[in-house]
Amino acid sequence: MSAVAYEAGLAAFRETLAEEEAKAPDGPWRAGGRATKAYPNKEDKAWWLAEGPTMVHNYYNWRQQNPNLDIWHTPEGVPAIELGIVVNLPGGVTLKSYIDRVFVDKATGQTMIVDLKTGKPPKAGLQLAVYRLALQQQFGEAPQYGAYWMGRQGTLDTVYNLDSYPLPMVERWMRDVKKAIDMQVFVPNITMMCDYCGVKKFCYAHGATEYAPDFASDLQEENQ
Amino acid sequence: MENETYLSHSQFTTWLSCGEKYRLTKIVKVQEDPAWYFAGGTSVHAAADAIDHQLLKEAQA
Repeated sequence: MSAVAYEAGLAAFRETLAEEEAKAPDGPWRAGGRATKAYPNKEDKAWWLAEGPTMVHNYYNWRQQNPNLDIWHTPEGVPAIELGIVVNLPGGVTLKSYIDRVFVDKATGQTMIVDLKTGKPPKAGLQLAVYRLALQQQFGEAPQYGAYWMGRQGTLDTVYNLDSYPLPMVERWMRDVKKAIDMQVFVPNITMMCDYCGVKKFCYAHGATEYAPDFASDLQEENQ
Repeated sequence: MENETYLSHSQFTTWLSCGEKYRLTKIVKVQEDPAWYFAGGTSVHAAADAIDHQLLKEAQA
């Protein structure tokens, strides 16, 4: 393992954060987490400048501590690092995925999907199962296991046996959501999460009018 | 039938969490307010990618 890799990671972190800040649209910046004495503005730029490099260190350490995990390569020889896949599924669904990592265990040959998270772990492995579907369709490779790598802890969260999400079930869920989108079923879900929503100021459910649908003509068409 | 639009896991969960958010961000394409968790998360991803690409390069050398 090399210090060069770690330094490359730190440099990429700093450069990308600066780029993301520069290209961000106007508007108030949202910050996650809670206000603390050290960070009264919650997890803002100062927090990320301090904690981001810790997560980079955590990733480097985790890779160092797991030498049995190699990056899986596609049959064409592309390393599965941010692997982009587009596949056609039943129901006219074109599924587009960017898969953070697929690892292969050198000892067993078993593959595992890993998604990198910098916040809290998702409550289920569905995202990993969607990626499994994409890998299976594109390469005939369907890793049985998947996990979220957690940047704050520097470890994997629950390792999911993805057999719990049968591929036809995942295909059906994707198809059903596609159907609803095609039928323009867009119902607002008003919850406490609205306070953190980046488009609340445009939302008719919160009183905005500029982009509201024309409800009267919608219903008129329905009645004809 | 021709596929008209892509569906990603992120779009799938956005639609499930709020249909109007999906419409505003994906159909109307209004600009979402920036968020440090997006900028920071993207940056950590870029860092991890750089680490793995460098490790691969060294392994192949």
